[in-house]
Amino acid sequence: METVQLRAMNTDVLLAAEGQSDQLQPGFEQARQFIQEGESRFTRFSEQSELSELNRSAGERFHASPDLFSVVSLARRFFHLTRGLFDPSILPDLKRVGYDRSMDLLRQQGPAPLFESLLAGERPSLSEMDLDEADHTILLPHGMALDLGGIAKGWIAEQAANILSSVSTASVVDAGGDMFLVGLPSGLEQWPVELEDPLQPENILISLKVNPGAVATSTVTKRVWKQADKDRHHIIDPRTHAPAISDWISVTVVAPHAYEAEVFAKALLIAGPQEAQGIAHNSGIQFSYLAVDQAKKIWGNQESLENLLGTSQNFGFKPLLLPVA
Amino acid sequence: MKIFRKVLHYWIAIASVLSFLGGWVILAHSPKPVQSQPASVQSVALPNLPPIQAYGSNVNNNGLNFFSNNNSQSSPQPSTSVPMLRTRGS
Repeated sequence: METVQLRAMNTDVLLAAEGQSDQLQPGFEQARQFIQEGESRFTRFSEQSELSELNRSAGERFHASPDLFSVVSLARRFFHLTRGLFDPSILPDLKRVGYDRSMDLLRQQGPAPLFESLLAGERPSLSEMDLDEADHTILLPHGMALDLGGIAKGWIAEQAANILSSVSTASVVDAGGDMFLVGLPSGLEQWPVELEDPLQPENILISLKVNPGAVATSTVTKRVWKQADKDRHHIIDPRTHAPAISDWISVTVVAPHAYEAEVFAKALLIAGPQEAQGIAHNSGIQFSYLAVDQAKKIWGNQESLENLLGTSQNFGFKPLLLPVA
Repeated sequence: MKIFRKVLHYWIAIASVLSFLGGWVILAHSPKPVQSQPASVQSVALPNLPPIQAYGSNVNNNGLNFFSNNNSQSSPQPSTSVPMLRTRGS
């Protein structure tokens, strides 16, 4: 496979496609351009981005581009499907705990100050946001600001992979470990994907076998920083307005669409083992997931084991609760 | 005798307050405990794992399945043509 690497969306992005190099190059270029345009549209770290314009317009109707309207519509849909555990309106909370600039800058500039006075306050619910399909306008209530980080990254990766598929029968866009896979490489029945050890990134925990579709992982061990003497991470629990405290430290989701994988990886990580099955079952979306806890036990359902680990051995598990593609 | 008791009462009260404040100061200036990682995190590189079927398995009260995998394995070499894909969170 031919590959192209670039840095975008604050992460390393890999484009790979099977085919003749000269035929693939236009597809690579188009996909690269799409990713860079998507980043400049959806980033919250640039005042010039369309997302920042939308956030500044809270209280007034905002005419959105088709791309921004699509992603905000998806975000609202998944807010309801996850019972609010996926909530893009936690941006004020993210800033309050110190994630007020890109992770690259946060690491360069050292610990963020602790704003003890900025206690979490009441903020409007995402269900109060109004979307008008007819004229693509968005009305954010006063005090609301959106962070579309993960869901936008997944959406961009999937669109870019579909662009590559116009010049290749097998392609992948891997954005920092969250990826969308199209077709199958010659001679393979599934894509091999390694699950990294969240506590020892130099090692892998297990090798997965994945059908074409999306893979995404959320973890509390990657985007971490100190705020005064407090340890912070970027997975905010919308119920507490603070970094989530969960029995799991990472959740990997395999789903038909990248935005689904991104959303449910985050929601199930926040939910933890007590609520994850309920969230997955009630969402009506078909996906598989594997979760890793502090002891490096890997949790999932039997479909996850069969579909992702390439084994159909009967472990004697209980009846399944999670619908899997 | 009455004066002695009064002096004794004052002495006990002052000594108690000073002891409390002294303890406070000592605790405030003592080094904070170092948070250690769980023992399972401190595993070192180990030989390749047996196939996944060899793992013990279990079911918890929530109906979720888990299997232990305390030993990480080294990354295999990439395939000749397919790039090494690794999901890791970001």
